[in-house]
Amino acid sequence: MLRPVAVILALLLIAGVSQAGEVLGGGDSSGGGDSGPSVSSGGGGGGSKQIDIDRLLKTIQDGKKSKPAKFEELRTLLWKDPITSEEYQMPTVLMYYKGNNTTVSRNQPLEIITVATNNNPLEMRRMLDLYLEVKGPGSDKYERINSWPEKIQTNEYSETTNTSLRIWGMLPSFSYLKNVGDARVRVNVSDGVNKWSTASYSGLKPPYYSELVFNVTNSLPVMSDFDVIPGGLVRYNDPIEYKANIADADGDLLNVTLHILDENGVELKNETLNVKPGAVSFKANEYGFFKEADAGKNFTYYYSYDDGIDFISKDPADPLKGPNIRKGPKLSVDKLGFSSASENYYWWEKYGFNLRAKNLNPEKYDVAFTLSTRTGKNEWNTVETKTVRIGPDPVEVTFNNTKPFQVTDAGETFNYRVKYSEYDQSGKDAMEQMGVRINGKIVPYSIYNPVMVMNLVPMLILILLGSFFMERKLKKGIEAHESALGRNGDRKNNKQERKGKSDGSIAGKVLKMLRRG
Amino acid sequence: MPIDISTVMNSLFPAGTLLLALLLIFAAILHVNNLNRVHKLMAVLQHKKEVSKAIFYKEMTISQGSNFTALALAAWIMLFVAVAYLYLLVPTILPFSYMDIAELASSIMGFAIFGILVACLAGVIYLFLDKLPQDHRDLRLMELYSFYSISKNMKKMISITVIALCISVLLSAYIGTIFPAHSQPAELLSLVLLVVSAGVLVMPIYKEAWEARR
Repeated sequence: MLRPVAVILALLLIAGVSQAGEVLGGGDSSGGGDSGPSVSSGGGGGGSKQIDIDRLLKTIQDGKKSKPAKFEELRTLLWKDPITSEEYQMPTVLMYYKGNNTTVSRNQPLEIITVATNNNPLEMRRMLDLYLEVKGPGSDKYERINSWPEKIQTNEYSETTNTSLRIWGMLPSFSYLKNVGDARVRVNVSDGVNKWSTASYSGLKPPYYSELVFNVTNSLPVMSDFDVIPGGLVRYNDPIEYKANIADADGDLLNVTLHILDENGVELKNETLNVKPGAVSFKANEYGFFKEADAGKNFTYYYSYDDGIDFISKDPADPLKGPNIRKGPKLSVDKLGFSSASENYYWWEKYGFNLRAKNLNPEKYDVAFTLSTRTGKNEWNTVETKTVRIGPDPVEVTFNNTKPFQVTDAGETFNYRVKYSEYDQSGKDAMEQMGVRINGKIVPYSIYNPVMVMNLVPMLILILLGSFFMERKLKKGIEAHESALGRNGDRKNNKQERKGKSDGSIAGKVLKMLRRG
Repeated sequence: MPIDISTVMNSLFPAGTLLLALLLIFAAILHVNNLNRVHKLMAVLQHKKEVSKAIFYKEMTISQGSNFTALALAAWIMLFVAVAYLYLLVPTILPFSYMDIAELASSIMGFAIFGILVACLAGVIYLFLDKLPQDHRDLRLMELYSFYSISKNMKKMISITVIALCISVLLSAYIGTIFPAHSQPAELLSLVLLVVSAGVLVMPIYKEAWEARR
């Protein structure tokens, strides 16, 4: 079909249809532009006009759609029959397949090749249009794979063997098939005059075929790494998650169904996910798998899945255990509060926190309470955890004499939170409240505090002694003068005189150092 | 026009700081100027074009006694520490302070560590200046008083500055303990003690400059 168009183009270009250029090409007259090759139209007296080849092509293509009648008229007008001759030999076009195994899975890579042999001399050869066709399993007709023909030009043949080949990259595998079974592949050929199929040949020997016939099989999806988290005994409203992996060599979209069974193996619920191969996750809270009434029960589960072709009804064969829902209290928590050693709310002070809890059911359970605090946007800092037995009578849970704050919290408003190991009446496992602004005072000691005395007095004494020590070492009081005047002898004598007056202890040495004058 | 007492009080601290800075800067200028003037005078008296600085300083050196020199050194180091305690312990004029390192400032030895670090830094500076060549002995802080004749009373006053500066440090430490609260009287008193002590420490220089003018 494109051959006439190509002929039209060639004729247009050769004949220099200046009228068409004026009508179709528009006014782009830049001959030296970068928009590809251009054609000069024959010039009249009014200067030269140039037709841009891209615009010409686009205009003809647009015309084909918008004005098909005009397009046909133009094609008829410009049609040129292919060169025919009695000596013309029909080219031979065959399917070529290297492998012996024609049983392939849907995702197995294929290399389908078509080989064309054209023994005509170059000037007699015609361009070949190839169309790949596949008849899928269960189908009664061939479907064309390529919408545009694969072309073998007249000059593409080997000079020695007169052959040319095409590898069909557009059919890398049969993964697109939704059925399995025999798939037949052939090529339809046209040389502009004749049309035929590779299936018309007979008596061929491998690796040449008139038609390729494959037995297409499906890869079954496989599930693995089954797990339920958290393990062990869990609460019915814990974030229970069923996890597994599913693999499918064909990369199909998979339907995975989780089946939850009760203690007697009776299916209670099922939920289906449409997933790609990879991780599969079912979150119990999202689907509402378990209710309060399930406390104390043990459950099992299995999966079923399909890839649209094959269906696996039960994997694993024996249902897996999990989750085991434990019984627990139904907490009622209130009156969360705090107290401080003083109303100053210094960071170094001890703070007390408390809340009241009871079980709305008659049983008694051990419940863990964890106190945390934070200031500003900092992380929660765990202060203390304690386990308290909670029954139907209200119990005061207290955290006394805690030191939850650091000096860096000074000046910040604090929040405090008590987290419990069970859920409360609101379905939450924590209660949080805002505290007060912590006093901005940084130094936890007053000036009269012994700590401050121990800071300042030794520091001042140390500076004083250090100064004396430096002077005695450098001898600036006398040496500056004596060294300037060259009187070292007297100093040495004085030194010797003083030597006997102090003992060798540290205190003696300090006294000696201070006495010198 | 009524005078706002709080405005006056607030401006006293910057004014005192400026006074302290000017006192020390002018003292440094006058000290160099004093020695240069005597140096030139010596050349004139000896009918020489120029007397070497090393010889000049040698001739100028007066022994002030080791105890006084040690106390003077202690006073100068204490001045350093007192200035650091007043201006760096809590944010006053500068936007940063030791209290920014809250963990250290609030630790059991936080104040001592700060003071000792500043004293060590001062000691290192003094030792560095002491290593200057003979031609630059005028810049050696430890030999500052070697070029001046200082009376006994002046020596006593200089020695007493150690106590005044200790009180200034204690007052600044008090301000540190109550931070972020302020005590303007304590701040001003600490600054006054600092200014007075600095004035006494550089008084021989001013006195010499004054007498030379007369």
